Amino acid sequence: MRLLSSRLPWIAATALATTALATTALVVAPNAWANTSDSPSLDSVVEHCYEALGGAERWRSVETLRLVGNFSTFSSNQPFVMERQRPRLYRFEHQEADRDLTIGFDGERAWWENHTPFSEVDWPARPPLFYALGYEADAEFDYPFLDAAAKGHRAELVGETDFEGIDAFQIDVTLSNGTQESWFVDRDTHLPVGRVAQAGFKDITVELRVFFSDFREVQGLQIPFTVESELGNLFRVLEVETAEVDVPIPADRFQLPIPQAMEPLNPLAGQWRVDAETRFMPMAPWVPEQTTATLESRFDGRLLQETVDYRFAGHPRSVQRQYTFDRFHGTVRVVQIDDLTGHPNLLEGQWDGDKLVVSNLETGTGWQVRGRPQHDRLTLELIDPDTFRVVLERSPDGGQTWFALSRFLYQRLPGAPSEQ
Amino acid sequence: MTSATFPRVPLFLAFLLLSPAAVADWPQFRGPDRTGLSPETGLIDPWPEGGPPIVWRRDIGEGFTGLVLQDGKLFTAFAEADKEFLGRFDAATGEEVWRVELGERFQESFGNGPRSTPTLDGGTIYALGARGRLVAVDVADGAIQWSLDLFERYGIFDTQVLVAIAPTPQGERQLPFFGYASSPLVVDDLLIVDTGARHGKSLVALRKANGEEVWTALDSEVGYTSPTLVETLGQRQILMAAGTELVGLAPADGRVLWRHPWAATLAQPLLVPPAKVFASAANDVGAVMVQLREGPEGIQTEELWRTRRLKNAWNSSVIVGDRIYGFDNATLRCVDVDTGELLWARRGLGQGTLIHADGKLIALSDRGKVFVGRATDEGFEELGSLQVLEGRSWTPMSLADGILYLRNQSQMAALDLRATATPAPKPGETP
Repeated sequence: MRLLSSRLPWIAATALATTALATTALVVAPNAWANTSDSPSLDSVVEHCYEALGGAERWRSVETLRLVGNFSTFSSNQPFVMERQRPRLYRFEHQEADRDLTIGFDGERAWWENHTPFSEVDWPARPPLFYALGYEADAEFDYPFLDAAAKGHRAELVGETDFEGIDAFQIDVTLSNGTQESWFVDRDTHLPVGRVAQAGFKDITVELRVFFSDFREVQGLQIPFTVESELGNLFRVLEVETAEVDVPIPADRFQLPIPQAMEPLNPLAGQWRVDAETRFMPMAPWVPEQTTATLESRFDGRLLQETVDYRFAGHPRSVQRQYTFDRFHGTVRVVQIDDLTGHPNLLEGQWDGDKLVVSNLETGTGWQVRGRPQHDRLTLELIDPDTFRVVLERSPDGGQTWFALSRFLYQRLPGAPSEQ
Repeated sequence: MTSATFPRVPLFLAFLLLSPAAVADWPQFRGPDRTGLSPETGLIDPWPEGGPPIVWRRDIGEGFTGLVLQDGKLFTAFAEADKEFLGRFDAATGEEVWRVELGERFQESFGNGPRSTPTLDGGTIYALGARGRLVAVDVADGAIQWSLDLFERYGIFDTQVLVAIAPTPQGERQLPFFGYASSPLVVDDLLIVDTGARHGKSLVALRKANGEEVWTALDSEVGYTSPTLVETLGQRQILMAAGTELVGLAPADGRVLWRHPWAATLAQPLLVPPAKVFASAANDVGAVMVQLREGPEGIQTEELWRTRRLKNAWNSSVIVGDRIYGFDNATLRCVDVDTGELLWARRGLGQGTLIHADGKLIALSDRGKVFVGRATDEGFEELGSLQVLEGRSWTPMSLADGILYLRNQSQMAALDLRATATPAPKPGETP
């Protein structure tokens, strides 16, 4: 099921227009104007509209909005918090079917944490494209007919029409991604009272109708305190209780939340000089080498991937590691593969302060050497933002004793960012 | 057949010919004839300041089941703890008289508990739990006359569309996704029940005296509409939206008299005498008017008009004379019966359920507010409104003896709409 509701650029609520179908919002077909000199122009309608909303320049100066109130869907009223930041940062915390649903847009991509029965994944994740496109559209800060050309949109004043009993100007907008929608501006108050688009719902595309009312002044801006939307058989009502303008919003509110255990690892992304010491058995002397390593943060910080190429006794060696978090078992997982064995060694463990300790004692990926089990342990120690250490150890007795085989000191290469 | 040979009469007069109930009763889903029309008159007008009095309001367990009334007795179904029950209550006070178990509680994300509205038939009431337990119960004392587990006898297999979000594994018996929701229909000595079992057993007729199977029909998936008895083209028919078609069946043997492709529908199809059928569905489908005609090969259908401007969700329309009143999502609309032309639209009533009585439309918003108004060709002339319940209020209203009965998932209430009603006390006043 699509989880859609009203879309208003700055009071959006998860709407979307997935196709470029022309909308048919009207109770009465619009009366297209002939090209007469007394017909209002698009510019004049938009100008009057923004005057009614508090002024285009005033709106352009607004950087953030936070709206708090109640959101009703499936006739169940629950609190919501919506935060927006120019140009396209967006977060909407609410409930659908009495379950928590948070939707976000980080400036480039949408994300959600969807605990409703309609999602197969209930942790922070990227939504399917079907939904993501709509959230991207929701993230627009302004009405799309303001500065349309500058945003790559195309707006056209179609004419006057009856929008559910309101004499209104109809503005058709083709968004930069090709999506079409119609906006309705009250002929008397010049306030935007409706929007009609096509939107996804239960895997089909249906008409989405949004109604804006109860405009109230907040710091010189007119904001609709009631936004109703109709989509398929869904009826949603967003009722604003408080609206704050230009309130500071922490940047991470708009970012896809990542597991806490991955937070210390993500800043390690970058280029590193590695001072390595290795030996092939416990009593052997350490052989120093110097090399570089590349650590790459992927999947929005849910995966840290490391590649180390170095030489041991003059011979090339290579190791790859992937650091992830298994939310079902609550463990950090490191998959380590080296060029000699090619064995995918799975190490699991936890953070202990600034140290991450993972081993294959419980993962079943240790192996037998002459009938004796061999286990590996990796300890990653954070020293400062530009320095960390990795020690690889081996145990021949099921983890009772460990001896180090490799020690790596990582120092961020000059010019490389200390944080991603 | 045309309207020239069958002059259009107020629908409720036609319904009276079919209804076994007294006019003051509300014996089944959506009223005496499942149309949302009540023959009652003398409702309060004008609306008193503060609204009419709430006679009583009491807590009740979860469920979407409608309330049916007969001779001062009120019946509905509800869930408590892990069970579902059919209960009898005193219509005057809301006090419980008896309860009968309807099986294990059905749980679903939109709301738990029973959905189907019981059907009164003289001294017996028939009720269906959301998990498929069908019971015939003595109205007087709650004694079970017979019971039948529809799920066990007509289990649903191989569902695809209406029942489950995901297809059911082959060979695995599956409950309807939203539970058994259709309301049983009494026709003579038969009890007609929608099972959704497919394979020729989607609709079954049981001997109402003992639950014995008399006939089965249809392959459709389980729907969330209910069969309705109508009389058209000189014969009685069972009208229903079955799966993705409209059908008319002969009550005696379940023979399909006609069928017309339609859409998955939650709202009730309605007969427009003498021989038209109106249906409406959500999700951009809209509404259709279908003409039924006798032909050499039986009854033929022809679409007279379609409109996208009236899309009933779970809230069915009512038809009064030449006008169809219904909710297009959360917009109340009036549509011309003959042309499908939209006459007016009115917002602000929520996503309501609708009945008609005494020349007035009565709407219950999806969040528990009652609106009463006159419907004219110019618009909805609101007489008044009153917040009676809070929260999700999707259950259709019932009207009996001038009292409007409503419920949500935690409460039910009685609102006195009689012209003799004393206005409700103002906030802070003692009733």
